[in-house]
Amino acid sequence: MAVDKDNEFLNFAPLLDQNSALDDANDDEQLPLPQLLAKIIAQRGSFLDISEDKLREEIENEQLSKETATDQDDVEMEAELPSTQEQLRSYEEFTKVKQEIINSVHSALNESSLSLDFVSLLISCVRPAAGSSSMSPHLKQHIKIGSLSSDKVDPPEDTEKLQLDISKVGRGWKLESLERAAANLKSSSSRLKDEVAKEKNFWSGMVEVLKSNEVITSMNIKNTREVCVKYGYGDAGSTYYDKGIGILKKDAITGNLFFENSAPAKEEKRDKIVNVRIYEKNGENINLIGESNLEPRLRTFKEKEGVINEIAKARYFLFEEELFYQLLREAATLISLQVSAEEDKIVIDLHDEVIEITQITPEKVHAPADLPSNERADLIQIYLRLMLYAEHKHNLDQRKIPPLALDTESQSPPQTSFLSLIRPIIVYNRHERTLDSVRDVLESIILNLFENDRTKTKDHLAEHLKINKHCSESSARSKDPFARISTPPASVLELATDSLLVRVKLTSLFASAYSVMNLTLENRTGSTILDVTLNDVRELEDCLNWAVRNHDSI
Amino acid sequence: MSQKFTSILSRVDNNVELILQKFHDIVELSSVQEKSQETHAIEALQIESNAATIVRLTEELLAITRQLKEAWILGQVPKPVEWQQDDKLLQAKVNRLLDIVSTGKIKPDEI
Repeated sequence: MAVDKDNEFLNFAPLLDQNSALDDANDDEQLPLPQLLAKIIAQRGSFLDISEDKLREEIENEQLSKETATDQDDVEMEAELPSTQEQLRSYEEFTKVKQEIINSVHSALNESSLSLDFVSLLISCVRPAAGSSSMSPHLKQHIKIGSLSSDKVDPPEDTEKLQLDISKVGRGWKLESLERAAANLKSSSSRLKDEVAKEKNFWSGMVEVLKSNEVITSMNIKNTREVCVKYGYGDAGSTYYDKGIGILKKDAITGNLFFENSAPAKEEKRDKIVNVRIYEKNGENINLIGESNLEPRLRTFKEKEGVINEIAKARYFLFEEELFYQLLREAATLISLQVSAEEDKIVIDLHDEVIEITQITPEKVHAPADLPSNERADLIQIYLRLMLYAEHKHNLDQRKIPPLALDTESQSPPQTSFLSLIRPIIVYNRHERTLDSVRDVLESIILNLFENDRTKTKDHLAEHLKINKHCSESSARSKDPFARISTPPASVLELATDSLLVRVKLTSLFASAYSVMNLTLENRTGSTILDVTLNDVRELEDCLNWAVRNHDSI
Repeated sequence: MSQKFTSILSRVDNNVELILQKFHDIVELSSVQEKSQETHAIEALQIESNAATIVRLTEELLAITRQLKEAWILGQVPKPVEWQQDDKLLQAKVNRLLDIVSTGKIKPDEI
């Protein structure tokens, strides 16, 4: 707008440059009649009140006052006369003052034109034509017409009432939100109360599990930390894939503790239990003579409830599962010993009887019929379980052995588990059978010697036949209850006759289950006259017969 | 370990203090003095948010109790089972069992 100032001045400059000393009379005379009339009305009021007399009187008064005024002026002039020279302003001073006045007028003009522009702009909003006509070209150029608007704003007439309204609204809002907050707190509290009850349920279950001496641990399963229970035999030396780790979880509704197997179940697993049956071979017929009784084992699980029982049950069936798995694994290596393995059945052929190990579901478990060998079947299944425990213990002991240094020269071959579950039964069974046949051989020889006198033979055998079983084992010193089972059987038969001492040493091997017979003959003086190793009972018989007949000549 | 528990304790303290503070705030915000309508609107929302915060803090306290319980449970060691039996007797029993199982000659009653 500052630039505008000068432009405006130029319009009015000629007017201002004219002698500004226009006096009143001239001014009035120059006015056109309508304006003059309007001015008179403004000064004097309506023409109705103006009379000639009044005017004359006025003029006279005016002239009178003028005369007195001139008189006064004259007096002043006279008084001032002595200092006229000094007080008369110089021309420069005069122009200076004049310039000041002009400047003031200019700024007044500027201000007023600005105000005009402002008002024009304001009007242009309502009536664009009227507004734009009085606008300065500069404004028109730069500002869009009608861009300034105004409105009438009533000042709040009753602040007290307004405040009351606001506080009423505020009160309503606050009441509403307080109600909502209260409802939220209330529902949350009842929800949390339920939650706390669930928590209590869960943790009391947890304490119960702890009190039943289960191992509770935390594990990272699928990247989340879970509280787990170790119910399996993983830490007890089991090498089975399922280490028996259960995640302890909280039931979403009741909050009760329950557990879930952490091992990914490939398929629906069914609890199964190992059952033992004994059949008797009678020529072509096979008769069932004994069956293990599994009912008492399962009864405990059926009676009780709760998570502890569930854990115990899971442990039990895990063991059964592993047992059968290990049995099958072993049975597959025992084909040479007349053991056949099927999917859920292992048949052990023991010459005159057959042991059948099967896996059955708990639903099928029933008390066996009263059979003569039931007890033995029971003992066999106990034996199998014991053997698995022994296997676990052996594994555990192996783990405790500190690892050998790699640079030792004598690298021991990798320790393979020599304990087996079924093998000892077969080996010992065969050994016993061989022992019996050797005994029969010896008996027949004595019978020959006494010329078929049975009572005499019996007496002689009772007196002179000494059978020393299990002579190879170190069980006398070892404290391991499984010392005998883990060593192959060996027996010594000593038979003294009048002239000879017959000693037969039977040694069986775990690998083949065949017995090696070492026959030693000593004469009276104690010197060995025959020492031969034989592989078959028939050979032994022939050899002995020959030796007894010809011992004098040897 | 002790650092963990001091942090838990301080969390409990903090949460309790915050709960009280938030409750205090709610009461303070409920006053309807000469405030503008806008203030009222904001304060009404603040009341609800404070209530929600109280709920959240309480839930955190519950989570802390859970954490403590878990720490306690995991710190427990099961009692070792004391089980002593004569090894000789055990050995004899096992040997007898083997005899019966393998031969079936000895009557089970003898065990």
